[in-house]
Amino acid sequence: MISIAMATNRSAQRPNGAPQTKVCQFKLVLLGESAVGKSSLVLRFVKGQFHEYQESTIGAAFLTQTLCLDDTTVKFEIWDTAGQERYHSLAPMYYRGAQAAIVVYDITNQDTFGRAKNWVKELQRQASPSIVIALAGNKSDLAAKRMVEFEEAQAYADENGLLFMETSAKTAMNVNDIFLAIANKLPKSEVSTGGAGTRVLNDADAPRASSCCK
Amino acid sequence: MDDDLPTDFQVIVVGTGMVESIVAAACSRIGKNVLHLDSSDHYGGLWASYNFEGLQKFIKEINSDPNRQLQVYNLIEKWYIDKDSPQEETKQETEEEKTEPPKKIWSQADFASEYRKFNIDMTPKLLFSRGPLVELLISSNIARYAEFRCVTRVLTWLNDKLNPVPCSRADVFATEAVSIVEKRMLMKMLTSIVGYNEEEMDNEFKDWTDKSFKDYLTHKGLTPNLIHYVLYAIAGGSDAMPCLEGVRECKKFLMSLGRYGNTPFLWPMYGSGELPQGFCRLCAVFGGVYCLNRPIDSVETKTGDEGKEIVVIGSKSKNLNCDHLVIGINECPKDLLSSEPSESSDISKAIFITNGTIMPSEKEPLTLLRFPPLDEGDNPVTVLEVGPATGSCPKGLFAVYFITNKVKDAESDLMKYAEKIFDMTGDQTKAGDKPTCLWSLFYNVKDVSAGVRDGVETVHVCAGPDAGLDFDRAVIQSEQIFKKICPGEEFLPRAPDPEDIVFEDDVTHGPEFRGDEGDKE
Repeated sequence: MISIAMATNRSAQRPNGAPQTKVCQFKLVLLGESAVGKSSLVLRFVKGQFHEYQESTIGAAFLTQTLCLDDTTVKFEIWDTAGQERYHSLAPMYYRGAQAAIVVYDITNQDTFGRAKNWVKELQRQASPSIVIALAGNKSDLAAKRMVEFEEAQAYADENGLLFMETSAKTAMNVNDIFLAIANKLPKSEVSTGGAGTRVLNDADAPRASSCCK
Repeated sequence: MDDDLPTDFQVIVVGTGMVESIVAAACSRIGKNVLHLDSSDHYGGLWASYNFEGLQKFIKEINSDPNRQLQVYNLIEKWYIDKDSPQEETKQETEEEKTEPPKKIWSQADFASEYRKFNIDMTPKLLFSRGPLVELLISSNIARYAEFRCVTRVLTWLNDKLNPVPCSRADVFATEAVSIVEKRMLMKMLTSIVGYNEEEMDNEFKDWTDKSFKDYLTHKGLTPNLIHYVLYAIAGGSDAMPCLEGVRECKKFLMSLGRYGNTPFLWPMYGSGELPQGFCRLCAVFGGVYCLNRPIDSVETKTGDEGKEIVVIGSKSKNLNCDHLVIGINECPKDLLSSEPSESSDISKAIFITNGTIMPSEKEPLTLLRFPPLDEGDNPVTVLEVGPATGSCPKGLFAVYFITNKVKDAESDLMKYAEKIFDMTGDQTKAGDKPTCLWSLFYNVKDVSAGVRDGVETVHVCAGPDAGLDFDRAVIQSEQIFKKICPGEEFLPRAPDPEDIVFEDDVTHGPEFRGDEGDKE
């Protein structure tokens, strides 16, 4: 196995016997109807920013963010749909190897909750059976216009074994918390799961470009 | 619900095959507003990977309506195993002998229940580590969407058995298959081929332009074993391979050594069908609009208000307009193609699912096997064997792809090669040295390169899959099409790392986004 880039759960050990911090990297995918605030959630989580009239985020559909738990550093590699969900044209590549997913709906729009349920089904059909799924009822700052009851969504999440929170990318409410809850739920085994390949990198970028696989 | 699809684009791409997808990504990347359609419900067209259920659907569709996919014909699917497995027997044994579980006896039902673990390629191909596709993936930053595994070994068929081919310097010295004198001879030969620059090439080979590579190797004093390795395994050629072509193929092989692994080749995780999806994702990330399940009915060109030519595409009683149409040959209406006879060479292909590797090794192997032609009139046969670690099949199985230029039909062209390395009786209890073939599919593919009819400058037809080992032809063709649509523009410049993108309300950044116009209605 070549070690020029990511394998799934890589543990990094310091060479001089210093206390080791385990670094686990996970692929997290975002799903949900257009305009429920998928990109806004990520932007709040990764950059701490919010933009009221944000256009679709050109070129930014792939962000990373690191969270520190007690003995582990969790690095999320976050994939945004890049709009491919709009006409039901999301590529299977999107789900490949994803260990976590956040399915987002808008609490002021009942239709988006229905669609969120379909995305959960789609994940159960397409993604890895062990994927950790979180349901996010976004735009909780607009509770006055609420169309989806908290209890209804909570009951659905419980039935399907999903993490659930209502979030607001605008006020930052529960944004870090939902990522943290996912990080806590993910299995952080030392053993790198078999079957992962490697990224191809430029020779200059690769720490060890020509190690050999026997 | 598709009806809110916007109608005006600079570029519309129809078909999500490799060439179409690269062109779509390249156009979107430099700011063109792109719509990308496919008539089927999945990405990749004839370049797709299927799980086992999807593959069954594909076979059924073609067999029931051959006109749907004219490029694929002669499909023959065969099972070599029972529908259901004798369950109780195997259960008892596993409980008693936990240390040595018996080899799993596969049934058709097992394939069906594990269908999702298959990713079977219709167009399996390798990437040369320093070939144009790897360079393009790296330079465009699309590499981060995909993962790869190294091909672990190159084999050939020599003296009626499988032989590992020494690829690297270390391999050459480690091998016991050739003598020390031969080793020196081989190293000298390989080193000199890599070392030639263009001028030295012209000089060295000026008398060889109309002679075969085999003649050249013989002239250089190589022994028959070495000629076999260099000609059939490294250059992938036949006895008639022209000298210069052989030298170029060798050079390409040797130049790609030592970058990622022990051989010059990479294989995409989950199959070659992932690669078009990677390019499509880049296109979408830069604003491209995607719509699968969207067949087109007609293509017309007309002159617009300012004398500009516009392509009008009829699809689901809606007109879609664009300046340039890029269309896969399998999606292209016949009246759009040039009536001149097109160049066509057909490919014979086969896929086998087996219960073990063709040559056991310590770790799970990923193999390129090159057969020399076994009979007069045959073409060399390329074989790729991929295992569970590549995400191609469930644990315990291997997917093996056979490719050759067609002589008669896929089954007659390839069955005799398969029989050399597989047990075709379907008997899974035997402990022979050959793996048992459990399932097979033979098919022929037309490789047509047709032009567009005269006078149509704004429609660009993309060829389908070729018989070559790599993606080079697809990359070259997509760059040519891109240059015609966007003269003077850079082909897939590096996409910025998202971390470097600054989000500020009053800062404009990146290309202008126009794909949302239709959504505002």
